[in-house]
Amino acid sequence: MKRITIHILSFVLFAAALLRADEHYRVEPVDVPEGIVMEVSGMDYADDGVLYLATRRGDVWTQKDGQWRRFAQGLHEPMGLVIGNKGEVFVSQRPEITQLIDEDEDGVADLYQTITDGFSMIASFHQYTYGLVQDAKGNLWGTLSGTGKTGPDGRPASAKAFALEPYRMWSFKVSPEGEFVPWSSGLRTANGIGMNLEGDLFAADNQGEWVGTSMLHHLEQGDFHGHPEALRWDERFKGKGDPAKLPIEQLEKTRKMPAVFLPHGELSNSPGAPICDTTAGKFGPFEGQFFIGDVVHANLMRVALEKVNGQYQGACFPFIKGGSQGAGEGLKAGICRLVFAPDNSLLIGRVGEGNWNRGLPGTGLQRVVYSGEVPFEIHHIELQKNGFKLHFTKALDAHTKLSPDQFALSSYHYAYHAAYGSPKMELKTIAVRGVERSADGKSVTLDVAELVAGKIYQFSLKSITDSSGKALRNASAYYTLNELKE
Amino acid sequence: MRPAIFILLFSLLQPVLAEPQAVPKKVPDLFVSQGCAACHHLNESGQANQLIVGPPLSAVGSRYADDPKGLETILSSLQMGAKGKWGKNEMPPQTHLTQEHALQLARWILTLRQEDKTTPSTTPATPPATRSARTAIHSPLLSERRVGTVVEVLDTPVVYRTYLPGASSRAIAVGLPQQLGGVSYAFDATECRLLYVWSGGFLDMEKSWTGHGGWYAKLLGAKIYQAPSHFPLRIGKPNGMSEKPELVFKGYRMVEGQPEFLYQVDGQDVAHRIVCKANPQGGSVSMTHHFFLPGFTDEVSFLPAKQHVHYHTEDATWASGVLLVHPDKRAGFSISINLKP
Repeated sequence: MKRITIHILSFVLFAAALLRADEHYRVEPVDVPEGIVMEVSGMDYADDGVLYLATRRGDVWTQKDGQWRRFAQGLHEPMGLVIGNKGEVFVSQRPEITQLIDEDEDGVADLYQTITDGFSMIASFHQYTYGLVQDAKGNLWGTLSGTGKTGPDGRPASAKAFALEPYRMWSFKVSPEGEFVPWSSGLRTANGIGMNLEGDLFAADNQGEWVGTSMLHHLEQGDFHGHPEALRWDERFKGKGDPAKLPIEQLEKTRKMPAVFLPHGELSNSPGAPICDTTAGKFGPFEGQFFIGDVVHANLMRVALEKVNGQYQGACFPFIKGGSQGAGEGLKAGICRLVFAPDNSLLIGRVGEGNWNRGLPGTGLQRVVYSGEVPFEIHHIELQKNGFKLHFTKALDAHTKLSPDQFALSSYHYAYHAAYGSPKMELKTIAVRGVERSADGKSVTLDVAELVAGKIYQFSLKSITDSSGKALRNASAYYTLNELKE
Repeated sequence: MRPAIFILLFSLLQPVLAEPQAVPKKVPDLFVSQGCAACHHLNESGQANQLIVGPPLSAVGSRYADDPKGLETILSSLQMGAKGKWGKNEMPPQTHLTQEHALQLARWILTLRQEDKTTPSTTPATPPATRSARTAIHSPLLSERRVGTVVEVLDTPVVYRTYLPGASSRAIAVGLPQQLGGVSYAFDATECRLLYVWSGGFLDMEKSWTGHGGWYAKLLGAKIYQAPSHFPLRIGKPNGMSEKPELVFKGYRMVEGQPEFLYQVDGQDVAHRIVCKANPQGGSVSMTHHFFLPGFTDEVSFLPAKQHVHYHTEDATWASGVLLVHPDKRAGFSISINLKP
């Protein structure tokens, strides 16, 4: 009898431990084959539910029902994989964009077909070919990292990145006919690319010189995203000497501001590829928003954009903090690629080693499973003429009076300069003058003392509860204000 | 000018240097938040194969622990940049650091020792990073064996794209099993031709797979054949032997486990299969180049090496120093050489 009691007690404790952290999202391990170094650098699902997964070591794996098989071998450090509209398998490897074709349908690729190699590629530790997404017209999209100076022994000789050959530091399009088209420039090293529901393209650049903090860019043809090295290959600046020596005012004028800054240290040091939530609510109430993982921090971030004066801008939020948040085993470092699985869970690919290991190793897979219970979160932030409207996923508690003190707001920016990274500049508190809850209780409009274009507005919410008394799951947000509302 | 700045800095620091200061608990976080971690690890441990830009900070702390000018040296490196103290890499001035942060970091670095296990609070505990890189593995899911970073060919050919010495940046290494001669060769995807053959082992991928990666694979074994440095085929241009044709690499197809390289020569599709086999008498390997030019009827010739190489073919005859392909063989012909491992 006593023994049974103990068993029941331990079961209750065990169940309590399982449920303790987060009833909305649960982080689960996903097995990878034993003895394989699974540095995930590209992932996508085919229509038949087969996962295709590329690794830094050059393999492409398939997995279905727990069965792993090597589909392709010997690719040169692929950093992107996408399943095309007609089920084609495309990879971006250092020297080229390649289609892997299983001609005899035995589950292993026979034909490694070069789609394009129309860009320069030299021996440098930092010559990544990031990708890939495909649009409805069949164009493939990716980005080329800057070149790292490499010593004779292969060691990095400088932390700086260069674009001495075309089209390093550019995003690119590959047409269905295989034509390589340089698209936008000035990306230091944007590890991956994502497309939203409207078919617009985004890539997250990694903090470094000229990149004050990591940032999510909207990629439009001809855009200059900030790293001047890339302007060597821009018709407007070609042959006009070292673009890094151009007057800073001219660079600032040429530069397109990122849609969202991802605060260094707090959210992101090395963001991976953004993935758009296409689950139509089956992963929570965030359809159309982006999720981004971080290689250094084990964080998952969420990005909700709006268009102001025709330009994307918006907010980023912590979603699951590394190690600590979410039920289950906790997120681990090395997050590089994300993909929604057929069961609407979010599969997380960890690259972990090589250049991606800052003493924080981590390879393999995890997944995030949504319980179906809507989390209480700031859904998105909408700029107003005199402030911000915060939209929540659930109605706020109607019985408590809201006060401006509950919405701590500060503003700052990151320096645009040749140095590596930037601290928060001109960080100051912004007074919130008024708070107004909407009739349905699901949004709050803040009247703020000052709105300045070019600033990041950091929100820290306190004691905000939903109608059941539950606190916000994540209480901070960072809104990038490029355009003021007219 | 430089000495003046140095003296000024030194004099400013004197009061700071005089008394040992406690390190605020939040300082280790600066290691991550201020970007130090982008180029430095904290410790040597777990990075046996890790190539990083700068020295481990625990090594810096240990070196300057008993140096009365240690703090000043570290601070100077942080604020003015440094070169030559730890290898060839240059650290740019960390101009984003406030004076306070720089001082806090410098003081903290001085407290670190090489055996130090302190990690910043934002850093998860560090398991051995490169165990996987050293462990001998044979996964039944692979057709080759990976012993750490050394790749061994088993009973099927292995094709790895990587940086290879003596090749353009777009190179392909092929390792063949014993029954196919047991040799390895390099094919250049820019020049669309065989570069060289080596015998012994296949590749050590250490500099590609570990550390920062992205560097040359090491050939395991000795080169036994160096191909001539020109592209060997000339098509449809009897008078254009000196002109290099326009080459476009199109990929490769695995045929019976071996790659058939696909490229275009002046717009004409070419499939180029390289097949090796050990001669039954032993002691040598025959390498046969099979060229397929579907539907091609114009003149085709093969430019030999300048050095003495024995070519074996029934599909071409010598004419003016080149192997002229017989008219009925233009759409498909073979040329062999013997290699001695």
